[in-house]
Amino acid sequence: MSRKSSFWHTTLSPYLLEHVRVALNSVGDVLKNPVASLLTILTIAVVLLQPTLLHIGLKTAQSASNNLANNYNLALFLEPELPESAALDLRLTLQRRTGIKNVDYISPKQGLKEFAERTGLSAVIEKLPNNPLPATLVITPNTPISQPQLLDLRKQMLAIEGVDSVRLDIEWAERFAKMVLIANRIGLIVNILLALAVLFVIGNTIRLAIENKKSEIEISRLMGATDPFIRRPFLYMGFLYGFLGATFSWVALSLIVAWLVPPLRYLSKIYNFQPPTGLIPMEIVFLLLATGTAVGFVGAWAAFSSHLSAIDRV
Amino acid sequence: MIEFRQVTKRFNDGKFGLVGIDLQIHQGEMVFLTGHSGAGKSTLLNLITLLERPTRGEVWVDNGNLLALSCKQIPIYRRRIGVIFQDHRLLLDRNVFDNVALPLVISGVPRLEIPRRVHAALDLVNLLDKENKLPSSLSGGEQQRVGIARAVVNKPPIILADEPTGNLDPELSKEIIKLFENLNQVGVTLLIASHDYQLLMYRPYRVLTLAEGRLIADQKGGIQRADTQPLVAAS
Repeated sequence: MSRKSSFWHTTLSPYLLEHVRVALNSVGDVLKNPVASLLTILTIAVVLLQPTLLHIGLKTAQSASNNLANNYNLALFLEPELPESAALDLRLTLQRRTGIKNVDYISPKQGLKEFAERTGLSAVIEKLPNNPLPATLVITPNTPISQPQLLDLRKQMLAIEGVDSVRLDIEWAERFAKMVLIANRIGLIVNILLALAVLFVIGNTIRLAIENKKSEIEISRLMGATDPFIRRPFLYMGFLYGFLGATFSWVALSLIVAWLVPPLRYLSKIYNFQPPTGLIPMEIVFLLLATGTAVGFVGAWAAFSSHLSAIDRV
Repeated sequence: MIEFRQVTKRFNDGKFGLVGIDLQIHQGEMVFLTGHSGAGKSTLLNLITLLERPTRGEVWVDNGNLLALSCKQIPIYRRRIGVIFQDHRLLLDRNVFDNVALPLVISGVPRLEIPRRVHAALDLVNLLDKENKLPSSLSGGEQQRVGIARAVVNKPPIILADEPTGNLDPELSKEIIKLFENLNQVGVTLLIASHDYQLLMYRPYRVLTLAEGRLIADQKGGIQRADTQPLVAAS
């Protein structure tokens, strides 16, 4: 034991050693009241969870929105009387136009088959006396394309003989992009408020810890302890609470995301966006841990500064 | 060593803690400070430890004016003064060793040197065998001796004691005073606030008497009957 400790004493500088001592003491203080400490850590974890979830949700929504923005298709429903050869001619004509990247032809038969597959209503469809679907040309415009240009293209397509109607999903996509933008801004405000909440939770915990150690602080002061000396254990404590809270938050987040991924994957197939993986991206984990510890540290500092001046200041 | 020059302390509520105190304590002296409770004994000690600042006048310690100390210098200054309390004020969740080691940790004494110095201090108060005990398991006299060990472990040139025998019976009190005498013999300056007149009677100490914040007597060679001290002496 003594040999071991002398090894450490000769290897580490006294200043570093003092920090190690204080850090270990802080761990001890946190463990001394396991229930109270756990409650504090869980509170911090829950509070940190919300902005992180929001962040991941927004990122997914944003990628979906970007995909949607580049997936504007015009569906040209052709008149039912138009023969298939005329439809294919029209396809070739359109293919040569500038501003159009690709034109797909979907025959009524093919359309019905896809519809049956998607909806699972094949039994009902088989009983239909004749195919109600028109032949369809799906136009993919060159991207990027602005909304007025799209509307203009739509007008041109409507004017073509043999085209019955044109469907464009632009409004929905635009609205979705705007919603993501608003959610992003609300998210920023919520994040700031929740960071403040963590600050208050840790601040209050540290304030109680200071209150518990009031006599020790007073006596240490009288023996010539400097402010940094007295402050150090509480800063470590705040640091520890923040870090542990963020770690718990990470674990909870992984569970939640794992739970959400299967339905999201299904959704991503339908709406054609990048599905989230089950793993939390490293930069988010890093951001979470860094924010947690930083807020813990700042909360402890603020609690110390405001509370200790109330204890004694000569 | 300790010098008060026309020191007046007026509290925020307008009451006077000390009025026009002039006194000088030389290096190596052992001085008692008496007076009824509220006479200003604790205030006088607090001015030396800088828990309070005088309203008027100057306090000099070790040829330095305390007014000249900046906030950052105060902790360093305090490390040179050992303080002993009536209620000993030990940390109840730490054992005897850790309590005595506290001033050394605060002063940044190298870790390896701490056990040796703590043991020396505990040896002085005859408590070497109790270093692993918690303060609550010790008797009142032992607790006070731990408090003394804590005060001397840093080898301060000055020791202040506020009613160190207040909670002890006469036999234990004598023991404590004997400890102080031992410290005094190695050159430590002691200022002991006490209203334990039994203890001071017929003893060869210098005794300062406070009443209502004024220094009314400064006698060498002990006091005869402190409780019948004529207060007229003040005017």
